Amino acid sequence: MTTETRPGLQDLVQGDRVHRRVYVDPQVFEEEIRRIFKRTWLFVGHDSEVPHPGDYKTDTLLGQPIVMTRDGNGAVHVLFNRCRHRGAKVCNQPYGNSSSFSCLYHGWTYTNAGDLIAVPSRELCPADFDPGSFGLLPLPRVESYRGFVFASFAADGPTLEEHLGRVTVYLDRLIDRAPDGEVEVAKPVMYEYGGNWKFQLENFVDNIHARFTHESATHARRTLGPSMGPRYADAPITDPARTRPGNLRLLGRGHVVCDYGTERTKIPFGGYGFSGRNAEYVRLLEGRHGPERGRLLADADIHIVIYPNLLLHTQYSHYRVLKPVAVDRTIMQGYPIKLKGAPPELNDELVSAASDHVSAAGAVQIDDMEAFSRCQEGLAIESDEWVLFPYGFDGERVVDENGEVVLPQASELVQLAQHEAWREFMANE
Amino acid sequence: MGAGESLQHEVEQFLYHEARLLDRRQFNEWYDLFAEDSRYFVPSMSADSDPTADAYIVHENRKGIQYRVSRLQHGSAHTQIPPARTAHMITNVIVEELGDGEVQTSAGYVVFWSRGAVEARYAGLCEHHLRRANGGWEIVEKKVSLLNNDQPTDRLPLL
Repeated sequence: MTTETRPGLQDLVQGDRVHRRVYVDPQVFEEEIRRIFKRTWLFVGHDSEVPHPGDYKTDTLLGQPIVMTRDGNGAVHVLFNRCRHRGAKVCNQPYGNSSSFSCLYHGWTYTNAGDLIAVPSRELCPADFDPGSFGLLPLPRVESYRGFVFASFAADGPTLEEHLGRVTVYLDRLIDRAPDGEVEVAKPVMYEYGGNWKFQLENFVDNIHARFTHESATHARRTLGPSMGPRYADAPITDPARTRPGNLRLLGRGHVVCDYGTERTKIPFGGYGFSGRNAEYVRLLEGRHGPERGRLLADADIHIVIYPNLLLHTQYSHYRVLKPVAVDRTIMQGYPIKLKGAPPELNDELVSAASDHVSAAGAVQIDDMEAFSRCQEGLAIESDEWVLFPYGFDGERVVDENGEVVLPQASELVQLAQHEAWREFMANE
Repeated sequence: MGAGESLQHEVEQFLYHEARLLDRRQFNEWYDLFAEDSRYFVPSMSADSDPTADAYIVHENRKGIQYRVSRLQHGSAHTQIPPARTAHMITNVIVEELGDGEVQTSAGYVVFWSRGAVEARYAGLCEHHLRRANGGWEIVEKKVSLLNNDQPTDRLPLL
């Protein structure tokens, strides 16, 4: 038996391997919260969750209560949900509409833009007490991109635009699938698993696991017919089409995208894309974007990881928000994405596909959750220190004209790119 | 108004029978209880959520239930290796006659779930729409509204 070595944080990611402590060490997790999650941009919500003036939605960000509001002028705010007086949460429904929030404790009252507008018995406070400086605290930075609202706990750092970089090209593609050029999200379905948060990010762009992890889902689909179950391309990973640099793209800062193109529209059992299935939808997209881009959007089949807490999926139309709870516990919130202006039956189908896919009682995600918890259990073993990512490590990689690194589909370099971003964040005390 | 004593007894026995099939993992027999036009619904976020407008935990027709049962019994259904042991408990059953041999029931529902060192319990309201068929009953709709359907859950069993 070997004794476990104790490499420093910067040495936990080495070549094609990652140290088990990255997944199991509570101290590493604490440092991740501090060095990654509290420094970078975190996705908070979509502005369609608060469509009307006065609408709000409460949630937590890194365990801290927040409220996303739309004020009377239509502006969206992300505020800490905490009375500035003695600390009580002031907004206590998951969703609602209100022009103001009153604290239950001593009645301090705030507008939905956060301004403190009432302090009962204020004459008992010192004369220089200034309510103007005790509005609900906003997150230090809040910015949005086409309705996707992000916030940062850090007052300084790259702008959201700098942070997102090339990933907006793919986010645009997801949003432009809506004939009206805007998406809206439905109420979510949520799951949690007994495993590290990074398992979910790795898994979302893992093109190798489906044949094994999801075999029961795909087998049942084959036996019961085309309308059932996930539509996977389950070609062997040694298939030439999957070993040439293709549709996995590294976009920097841990953001990655898997662009399946139209590959999965050709597979048996009905296919993935909408171009062959909803002529009205395609006509709307072609009218707005021209035939070429219209068809590209209709069939868009991409998975997007916006590091570190947002995953988006066009075919099972949804995004998932990741919440790291503990080194071995993660919560995911899955929101179906509806395409404004699309035929209603298509949006019904998207809500249904998203739910079946993401639900903790569904056909697909449940087996990934099983994988995550088994990995977490297995990594308790101290004698075997390293987690391996060998697939495609020596494979071809191409840098395209936009600086995107293009990889074969069956490559674990995409997971290693996430760990490389991790290492860069963690190297900075 | 509530059902007569014998109807109440008969319906309760049917619900207990269904619960026992699930606990014994007799999934095919469980699937056979569902009518051709049936629906199985577990809403997310609230009991009255609309499954065409918002995400759901489960929403499927009989074909979907067949797919679920087939998947669970496949040799590589990883969440079933090993399978969890469950105890489906039904109580506070209220039966309402709808006429034409159909009844609507509402019942308190608790599912205890145990798999290795992990234990969970799920509680909620279970509502059945039942129809007389072949001398017994068939399920037209089963709806399970978990108390905590606005909170994340780990791998969910058949409810």
